[in-house]
Amino acid sequence: MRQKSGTTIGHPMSEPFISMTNVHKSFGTQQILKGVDLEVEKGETLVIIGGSGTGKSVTMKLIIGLYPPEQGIVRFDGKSWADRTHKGADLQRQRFGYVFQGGALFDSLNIKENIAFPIREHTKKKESEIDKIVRNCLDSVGLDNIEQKFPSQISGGMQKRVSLARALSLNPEVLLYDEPTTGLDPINSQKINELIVKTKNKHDVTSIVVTHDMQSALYVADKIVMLYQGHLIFKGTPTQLLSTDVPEVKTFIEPALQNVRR
Amino acid sequence: MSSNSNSLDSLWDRAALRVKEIWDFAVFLKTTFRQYLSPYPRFTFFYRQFIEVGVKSVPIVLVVGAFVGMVLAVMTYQQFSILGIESMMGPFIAVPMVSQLGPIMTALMILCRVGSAMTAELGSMKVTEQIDALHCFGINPIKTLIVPRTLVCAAMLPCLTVISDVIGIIGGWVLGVYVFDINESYYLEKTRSYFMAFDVYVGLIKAFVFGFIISLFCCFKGYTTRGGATGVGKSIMEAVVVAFIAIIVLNFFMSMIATEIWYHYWSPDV
Repeated sequence: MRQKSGTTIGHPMSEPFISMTNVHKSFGTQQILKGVDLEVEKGETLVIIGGSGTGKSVTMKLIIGLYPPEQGIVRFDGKSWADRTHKGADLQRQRFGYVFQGGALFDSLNIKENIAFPIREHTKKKESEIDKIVRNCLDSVGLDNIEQKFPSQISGGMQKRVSLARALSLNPEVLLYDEPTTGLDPINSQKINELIVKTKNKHDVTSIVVTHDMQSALYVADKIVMLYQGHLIFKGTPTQLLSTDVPEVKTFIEPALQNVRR
Repeated sequence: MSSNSNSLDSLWDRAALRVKEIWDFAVFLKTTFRQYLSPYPRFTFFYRQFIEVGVKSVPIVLVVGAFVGMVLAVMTYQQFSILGIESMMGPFIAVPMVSQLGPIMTALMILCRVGSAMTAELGSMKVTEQIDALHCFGINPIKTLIVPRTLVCAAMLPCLTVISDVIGIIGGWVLGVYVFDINESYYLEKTRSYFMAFDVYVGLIKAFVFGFIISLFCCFKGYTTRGGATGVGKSIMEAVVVAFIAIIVLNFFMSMIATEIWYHYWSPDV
């Protein structure tokens, strides 16, 4: 079950929607990823688990082409980010929605303006149409009557839901969630988990979730991979994860599972 | 021996960091100037900066300009009354005001009020991943955040300088004529005869350059902030200090160039 660095995982025959091949990435002297291979098929929900500082968020930013890999290739829809022009990459990124760990809502804009921002930048829709999209996006995440509020006036859980609403505004094909339940109470965490599943089913999106919350990972995942010391040491379904004998994975998931059992 | 080699290493690291920062700034300038030639972002981005940089700065520029003019009046009156040439006060307030003190004081005020706010806002956006969010939406942050700030700041600084010049000259005139009791017609006549359009042009060109310097330094430091709240504070401090020194040094060189141009191309004696 344990994957060695450099080993390709996923479906060997079909072209994957998103793929990373032998990706290395470091910041200064600190090497974060040491040859990661990953494939994500269209429509599936992949969860990346791992301890803090193992490069989960870096992996997400590599997937969306924000960081260039030092070695290896990151492909989206059959083409490497390195082969795209700046404009071409910007155009492709409109097919993504990114839900940031802290929400990353623009604090100088109210909620409506936040959600409308990407629509205004990329389309020539009328104000009435934008209003309708904003209402629909907020409705999708179960929020109402907060359009005129500013991010600082709503709770952390609501900020994450607004961040998801904003990510949905351009009808993305891929949704990236960076620690969507971190810092939330169990009720709000469960709401976010349900939203991830609901959004996937309703909008038929490919989802990649980065988390160290095992309950969340097991709830939303079709496939789970684990990052450990720059390598991908596990890939499988949630059921396979629970029965794995990879010691590092067992050590990581055991405390969380004990909490669940209690 | 080991302590010497450690301090040498540390010096080398710091020098390497500075060189990297200069390189990063050059890349930032290149990217920003390239964006000036691309289609501009929506008018809303410019309008917000126009209000922040221009309109909201008017009160502070008025206060500073008036007091600088009045201080000039007090200083020149002290000296000129000894020599008995108080009526010459007018040009000695107006000329330095439009060519030196107006642009410099306005630039320093804008640096403190607007520049530091630019660094703080962009720095906070950087550390809270708001700039990454723009990238993720396929939106160029240089285009939407940097271009409006730098262009509006460069355009507004000459306008604010004119306001500062006018109020400074009025401040000096009020003090000279109504407090120091100098003959008004003499005061105005001398001011008119020594005051030249060249000084106004020099002041406005300086203000335009200072506007660019302030916004570019402050935006760059904000845009490249790292490390949370401490990083934001450090960026603001570095941006203000570097821009302050740049303004003072550039003012000297621009004044020297202006003097050369005056003597060789503009002076009535040429």
